[in-house]
Amino acid sequence: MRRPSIRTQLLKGTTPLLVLTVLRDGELYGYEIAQRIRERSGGAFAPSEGSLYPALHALEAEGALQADWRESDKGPKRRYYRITDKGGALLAEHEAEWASFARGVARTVAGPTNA
Amino acid sequence: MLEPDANPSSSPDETPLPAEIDEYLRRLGAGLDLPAHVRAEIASEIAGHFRDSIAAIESEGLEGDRAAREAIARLGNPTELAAELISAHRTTRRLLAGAAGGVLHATLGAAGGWVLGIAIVAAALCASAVVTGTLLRPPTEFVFASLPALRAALAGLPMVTALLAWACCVAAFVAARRGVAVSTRISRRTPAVVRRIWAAAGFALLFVAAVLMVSAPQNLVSVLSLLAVPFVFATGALTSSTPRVSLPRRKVVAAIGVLAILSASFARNVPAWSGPPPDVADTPQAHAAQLREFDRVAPAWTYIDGHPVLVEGGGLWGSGVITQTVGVWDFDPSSSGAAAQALSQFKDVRFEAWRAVRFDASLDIAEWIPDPAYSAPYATAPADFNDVQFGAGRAQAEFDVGHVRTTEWIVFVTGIGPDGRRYRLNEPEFNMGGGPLESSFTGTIWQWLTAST
Repeated sequence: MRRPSIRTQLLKGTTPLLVLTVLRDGELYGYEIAQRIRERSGGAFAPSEGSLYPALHALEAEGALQADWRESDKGPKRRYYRITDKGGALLAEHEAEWASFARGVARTVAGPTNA
Repeated sequence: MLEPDANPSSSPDETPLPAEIDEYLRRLGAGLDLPAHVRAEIASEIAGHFRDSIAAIESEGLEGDRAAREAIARLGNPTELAAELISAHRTTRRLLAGAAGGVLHATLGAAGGWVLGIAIVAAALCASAVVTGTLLRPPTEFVFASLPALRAALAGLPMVTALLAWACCVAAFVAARRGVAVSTRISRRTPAVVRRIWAAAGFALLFVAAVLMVSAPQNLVSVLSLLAVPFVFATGALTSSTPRVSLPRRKVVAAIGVLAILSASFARNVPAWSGPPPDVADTPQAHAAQLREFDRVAPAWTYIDGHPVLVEGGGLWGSGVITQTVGVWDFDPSSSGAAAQALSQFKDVRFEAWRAVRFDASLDIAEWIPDPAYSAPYATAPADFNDVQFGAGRAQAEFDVGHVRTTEWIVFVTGIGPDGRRYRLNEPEFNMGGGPLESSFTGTIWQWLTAST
């Protein structure tokens, strides 16, 4: 069995953070969210489409997101997500956690420092 | 929130999806064990995603079926996606909210159902009274007959318990259906599971409440009616998603059933109109036979100047208590009367409460005798003729019979005479005019089931 890459594992764990981050700028529907993440990462990565919708629905169930059905610019109805106050607080929490984690990983990877 | 289309690929303003995508959505929907409205939302959302995804893939150069297959590959296995979506929807928060919302709406439903139940029972009651009155009396008298019928039916307190239990059945049915509907919608759990949980929990709760907690006047009809409440609740919960087909027919059947039960109940209380009842009870033969039944339990003491030693002073009864008062026949303050002097010869003068049965059920007479099935009174109480509370020469006894299933009683006074035998000191007629003293069992179903007869 092929071992999942670090990117895949990290993406899975950080999907809620990425979703909340792109929604901070305005409401989007599912496909747009994936595209927006891809764009903001410079095409480096995008969450797996299969894990995006469970993450969106979980965040909605948690009260971090609110969803509405509306006509999209492209015509048919789309389910638009927008971040709630609770989602904003959760995003801040995730950002702090990620920053701390990223610093720790960077330090570890860089090796011991000379005091 | 705007509701999505029921069928995501059938909206007239949207292009139809390829067959592979329809099959994917069908498999996804089959795996989504969630309420129908949530399934429809997810299907619409994923269908929209496929449209965008296919358009993007086609712009990259892939066409037709290949684009659809690529879009499917990017979204992944529908069964796994369904499992992850179910997991995302079934949060503890939603479970608790579903339970709380269900209970709240069930309570509101019960309140509304109770009002509806009372209205239905009241309407059925009045209709049955009129129907019964019409059947049992000449048409010209049905209006007059219906009122006594209604009064007679309601006079027995257990009947009131039964009627209220029927209203509770309506309330339970409405409450269960609303509770299940709201719980399912909020908690996102499988409807079949939610129905079973509500049915089991509601049945257990209501069964315990009906059997052990609800204390009310009881008889067999009221017990069965109260026991029906948990069953009706469970039925309401388990059938909450059943389409309402043939509802008018059901209503008609239910209405006829209720009318039949109530009419039968009234008919039992209202004698058919066939002229004055035969005065069989006053025949010397019937009277002598009746007295022999009383003599079986305690022979009468010799009459004085054609009178018994004691005479009736009145009987009272409530739901669970019967009271009897007697007085010395020829009492005067100096106690010089023959009856008073005779009474002074007796020892252990006491009231005896006997279970009563109809003297002869085949006769249309209201005569009762001590139940031959019993050789001893149910209870006794000392007869104190000097208690100023009731007046000199009078005595009164009160018996609490609310926890015995027997509902008809005869109370008389006995004493041990000069020869050492116990005699009856008053005539049985004293409480025969309007029938026996009546009581009704008051308590829970469990107490009724375990009570002595």
